Amino acid sequence: MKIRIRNVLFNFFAILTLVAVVFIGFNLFSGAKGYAVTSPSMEDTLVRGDIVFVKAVSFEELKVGDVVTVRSTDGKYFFTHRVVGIDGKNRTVTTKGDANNSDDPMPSEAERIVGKMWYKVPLLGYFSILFLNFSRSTGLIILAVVAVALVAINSAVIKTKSKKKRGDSDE
Amino acid sequence: MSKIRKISAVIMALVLVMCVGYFSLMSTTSAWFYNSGVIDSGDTFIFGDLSVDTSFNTKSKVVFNGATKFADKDEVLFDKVVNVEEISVYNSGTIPARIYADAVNTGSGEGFRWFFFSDATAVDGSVKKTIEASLPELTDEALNAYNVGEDGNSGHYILLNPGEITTVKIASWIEYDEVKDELKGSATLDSYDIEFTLISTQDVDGAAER
Repeated sequence: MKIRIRNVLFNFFAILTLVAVVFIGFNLFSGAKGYAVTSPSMEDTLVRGDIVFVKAVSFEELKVGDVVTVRSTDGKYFFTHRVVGIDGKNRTVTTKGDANNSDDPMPSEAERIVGKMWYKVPLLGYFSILFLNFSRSTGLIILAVVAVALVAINSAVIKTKSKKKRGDSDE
Repeated sequence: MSKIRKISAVIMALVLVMCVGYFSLMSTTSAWFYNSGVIDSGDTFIFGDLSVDTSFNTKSKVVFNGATKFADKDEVLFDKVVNVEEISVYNSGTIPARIYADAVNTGSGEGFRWFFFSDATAVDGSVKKTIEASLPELTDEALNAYNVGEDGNSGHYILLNPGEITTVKIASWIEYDEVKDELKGSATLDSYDIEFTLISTQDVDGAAER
């Protein structure tokens, strides 16, 4: 029975890992960039905790109604809103959050548009939201500690099992 | 077989943690502006939900005990007559935010001036000393540029990290030179209806809108 549960768990994590690797590989290969949604301004299209994947498009390809991710002037922040107006002459777009009452107060230049929404995945963004309170390096350290802990637990379990086996055979 | 399984379990754990890392370290995307959020008791500004409605207004009938001159270095009583409005500000959101301020006199009184600061930039607990330390020169132009910027939508701001709470202060006073005739007939300056506004924005230039 114990072996059966172990097998099920092993297979579950094996499938989970495989799916995650294929998913990440697919996004990296397709050139899509993912952003974790932290605000409700695009509800119901995007909700907090979603990951929105965007693909680069040329300014000419943009249409009113597209959802685009825009970089701030200093490149540190991003927002994802719907295009409600296009100024071809100045190469800017006017954006608005679906849940907001008014347009965003300033137009966004074509150079700052990272891409157009391709698809979204719910809930996965909470990983990123959870890590918002940590710096990138602290986040990496936490993940490294978790990885080492998992490996250590795995080794400890194996050692205990082999000791037990040896003990049983000695008797 | 079990040895292969052991090794694959270790590799799997590492790969899975790396995958979680990929999602955890992803950039975030949010709306451009903070919402005005909850206002309680008139002196607290809490924000965190993101929207374009950004401001917190409070209207006060301000009675000034006297007029003063902020540009006069010998004016030692400046701190005695200045009015300081203190507002508690809390960032309950998940990204850093800037707080800008505005103060408008809708009353008929002349000579209204204001100055926005927090304890982080205060000098010896004195508004006068803080103004002197914050402005390149003690002129109306420099004061205006400090408060709202040359474009009217920038100026001094206070940065608040997620979860941080602070007290912002808006000092206001009446310039003596603009009311000295009025003061000849009356010692009280009470024709001032001041509207204080706080604006929260994301930590990027150009986000403030008054």
